[in-house]
Amino acid sequence: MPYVQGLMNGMVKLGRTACIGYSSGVKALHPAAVEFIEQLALIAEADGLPRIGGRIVGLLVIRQEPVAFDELVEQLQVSRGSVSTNTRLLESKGVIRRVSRLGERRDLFEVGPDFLERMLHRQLERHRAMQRISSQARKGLPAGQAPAKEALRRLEELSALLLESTEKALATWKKRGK
Amino acid sequence: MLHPAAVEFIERLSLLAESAGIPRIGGCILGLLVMEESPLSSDELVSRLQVSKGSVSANIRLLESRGVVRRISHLGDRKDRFEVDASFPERMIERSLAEQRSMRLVAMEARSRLPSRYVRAKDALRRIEAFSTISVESMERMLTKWRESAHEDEAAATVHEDVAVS
Repeated sequence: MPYVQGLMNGMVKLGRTACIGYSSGVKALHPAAVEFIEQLALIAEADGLPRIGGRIVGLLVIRQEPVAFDELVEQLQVSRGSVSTNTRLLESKGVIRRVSRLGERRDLFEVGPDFLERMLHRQLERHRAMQRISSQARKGLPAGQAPAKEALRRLEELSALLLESTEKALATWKKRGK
Repeated sequence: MLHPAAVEFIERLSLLAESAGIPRIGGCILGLLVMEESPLSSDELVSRLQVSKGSVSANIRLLESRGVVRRISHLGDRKDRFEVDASFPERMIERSLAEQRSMRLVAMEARSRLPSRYVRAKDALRRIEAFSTISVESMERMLTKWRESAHEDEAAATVHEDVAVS
């Protein structure tokens, strides 16, 4: 239920933005686009990305053109600080990139060409770290702690499988793209 | 007293959990329960982790709702105790799978509902759909593999018990 509530709030907010935006020259979004942005943000949030970050990605996916910083602030109805923190985070993960255009003084943002892969890289890194810390703990524990060692062995096994599965999916995707 | 290797594991696990959207205290609780051989009560968790009762109970609820931690109650024991749910790895895989599935669904819905003037957005959504389909299929195969290996472990444990009994 809190999710549904969050979704409703977000929709109301974005819906209003679309109206305000229309009159001030920002492109209005179709309700289906608004819903997509909100849903994507919720999924990304469950994956540990701030919700505003998810909304930025969603908006850039829908727009498919470089969007100015001020426009992100206006269209998502959030503070400049929040947009700046989140664009920096997404840039550092390679999900979005900053573009500059001749004669355009402002910073523009767009989704990177391989943003889908980049989103999966986050998971890949997590699986790798999980495998590493479980393995190190298992080796570091004294032989007397058999149940903990066994639990760690299962965690290692799980991370290895998750890693393998994610890597396979990435490889299949890359092959397909060519 | 926890072994230094266990302490390090708990700390690193809690950082990792944080990057996956679980509060750091939640990660600490999970790590401690993995390392401890017997279930712990919430009072024990409070004193071991040096955090507030409210924080422990909020995080326990979150971990329970995600199927990671299990509550056990014993007759004559007024306190509930907690342990790692044996099926927690499976829950973790299922969660990732559900995430990918909803990603596919969300992209599909948006693509079919958007008017045709959103040509490039529709194209991007089609790519997201194709990508999530590949992830979903790969994860489904992995889940099957994990379940098979869990069954093998169970079978092996049963054999050990039989040997012990005889």
